[in-house]
Amino acid sequence: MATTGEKSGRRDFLKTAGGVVAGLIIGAAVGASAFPRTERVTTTVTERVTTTATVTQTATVTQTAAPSAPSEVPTIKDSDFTWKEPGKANIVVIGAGPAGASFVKTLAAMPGARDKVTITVIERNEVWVSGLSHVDFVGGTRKLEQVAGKVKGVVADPKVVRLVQASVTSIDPANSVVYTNLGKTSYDILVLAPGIVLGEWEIEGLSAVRNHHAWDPGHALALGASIKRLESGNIVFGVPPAPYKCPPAPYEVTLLTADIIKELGRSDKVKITLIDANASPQPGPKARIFKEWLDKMGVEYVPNNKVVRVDPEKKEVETDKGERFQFDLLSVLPRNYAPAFIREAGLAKQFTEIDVSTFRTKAFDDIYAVGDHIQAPYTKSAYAATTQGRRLAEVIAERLGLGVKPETKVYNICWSYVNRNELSVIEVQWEPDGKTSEGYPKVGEPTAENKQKRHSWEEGLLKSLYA
Amino acid sequence: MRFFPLLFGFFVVGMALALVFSAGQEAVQTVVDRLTLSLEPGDRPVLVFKSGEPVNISIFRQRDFERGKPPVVMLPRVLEARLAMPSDVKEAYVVLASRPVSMEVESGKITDATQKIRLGEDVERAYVKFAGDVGTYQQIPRVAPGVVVKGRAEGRVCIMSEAEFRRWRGSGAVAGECFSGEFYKKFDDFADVYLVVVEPGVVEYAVYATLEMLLAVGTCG
Repeated sequence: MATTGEKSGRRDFLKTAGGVVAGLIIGAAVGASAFPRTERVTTTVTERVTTTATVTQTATVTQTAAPSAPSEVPTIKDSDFTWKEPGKANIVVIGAGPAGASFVKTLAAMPGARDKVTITVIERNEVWVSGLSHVDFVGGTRKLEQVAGKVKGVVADPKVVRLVQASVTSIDPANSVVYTNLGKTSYDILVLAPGIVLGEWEIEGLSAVRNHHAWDPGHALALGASIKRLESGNIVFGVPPAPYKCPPAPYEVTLLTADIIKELGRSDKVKITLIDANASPQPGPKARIFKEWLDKMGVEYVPNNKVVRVDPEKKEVETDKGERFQFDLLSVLPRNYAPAFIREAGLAKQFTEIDVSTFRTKAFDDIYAVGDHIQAPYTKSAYAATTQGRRLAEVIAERLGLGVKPETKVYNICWSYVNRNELSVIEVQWEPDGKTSEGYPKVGEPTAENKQKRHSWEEGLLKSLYA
Repeated sequence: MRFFPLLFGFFVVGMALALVFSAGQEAVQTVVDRLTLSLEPGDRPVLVFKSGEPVNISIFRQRDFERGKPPVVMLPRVLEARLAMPSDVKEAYVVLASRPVSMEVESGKITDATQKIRLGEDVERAYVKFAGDVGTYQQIPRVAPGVVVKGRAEGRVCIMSEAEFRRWRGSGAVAGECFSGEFYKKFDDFADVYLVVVEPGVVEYAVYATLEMLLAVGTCG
């Protein structure tokens, strides 16, 4: 039994300790209020994480949310699946496509990562189907099972990475919380890599007609089948204003279609029209090659016209210039956008606004963004996304004190079909400040050899990210 | 809106352009009301127009012109204009004016313009001075994040989004950002915008490509 003096001493100690804790909480709260996260801080993340752990009671409570096996439902308590361990930065990554997956794989493999980070990857799909091959699905040059990777493959080290199969509904940057259909998670660092969405709402009447495009594997397969079924009539393709995901793809799909129609002996019965919101085919350095092939294949190319309306009754599209085109088969790609939860959080108008060197969002110093949804000079492609993910891993590793300097330069290479056997090529590299490196872009004329190069690279990508 | 055919006979001066391009940076000035402009991939000539009286200028892709399709550029009531015509493909354009107008062509390349932007210099894409009547409008060309418009209006002009522009055309409801005197606007997205005259007077504006724009749109798609 304790004596009065002992009790008094314990009370004093508890009072002092309580005062210290309360002081820390109040001080941290005042500090957080005085120095909002919109400010660019130069202190290391480790310091900020320590502060967060002190302030946020849930950070301690939710330490029980240990890594679950890949693809398992995470441990959820009070609707919260935060994975927070003392002394480690709790990184949440939304999206496990090439950008997110390459970020995770690169960071998790760095020496010291186990001691410094936990990474929660939130991805709604169990399988990633290579976007590069969507065009192949239209042309019948590739099968889906050849180019699919299991997303759980991003969990190379379960002590560092876990995968949560869930859909993000919103993010709360002010309070560092991500909400999903499986509950919420807090974060110290958030990496946005969810890809783009199509602004179908912008084209009046589009939702009332069947519109298959190559920006979704199912749509691409359906488009390929529809082309082969069409005995006669008009096929109308539509390209949105640049920038959009996979700039050469609309022209590739159009040329592959023309190639199929020619092989089926229907060139005199099927008319192909390509309506382009841009002044010439994209990307600019490949415009000449595409234009020559469009002419050669008898495609009617209509530049400087943006599809704004679809009349389901008349089966007609209308452009901003008032031009009208009848269709029997429609394939219009709407303008690309960052997903709604990013735009609603004030991080994007059309694309997510970032610093092109560090990928840090302009609005919040603890949120980064990579991949097709960012506003940057980098091509919206799988290759460029992969190198962005790698560079971001280096940026964050440096910030966490892992002794790494950002050295990866964003790079892209695109092999583009002009028919089912020949592909042109373009290579670009960017300096850290976003300017194109000297000597780029490099463009190569169409060859059959490029087909094998494209397929080999794609297989390598799948293995490196998801094997 | 179509404000052609021309009242006068056409002068086809495609040869003048051949002279321009063979003469390097030297510009050839001539008086035209019709011109055929042939461009190679990578060309970026600047067309310079001057007129004492308001003149309507339209630029068609030759193929569209032959088929009676709309122009790619349409500028009403122009007193002076400088228009960059970048081309990534081999293309022919037909330039039409509603009355004879003084015109010169300054040759240039896309790569040179891009290099200037990379070095931090703003590059003029278009300059237009026109006699603005109420209801005169122009689509501001190639808007993107970082693109800047600087101008001056004797009367009053409004910069409208596409939705505001459609509403204005339907109901006459004036919306958007409106300016008298000098005005400046930097765009932060890719949405189409229109310059609409709501009070008459001479209007002049220039559209600039900037390094910020280059870092938002890239040079490779």
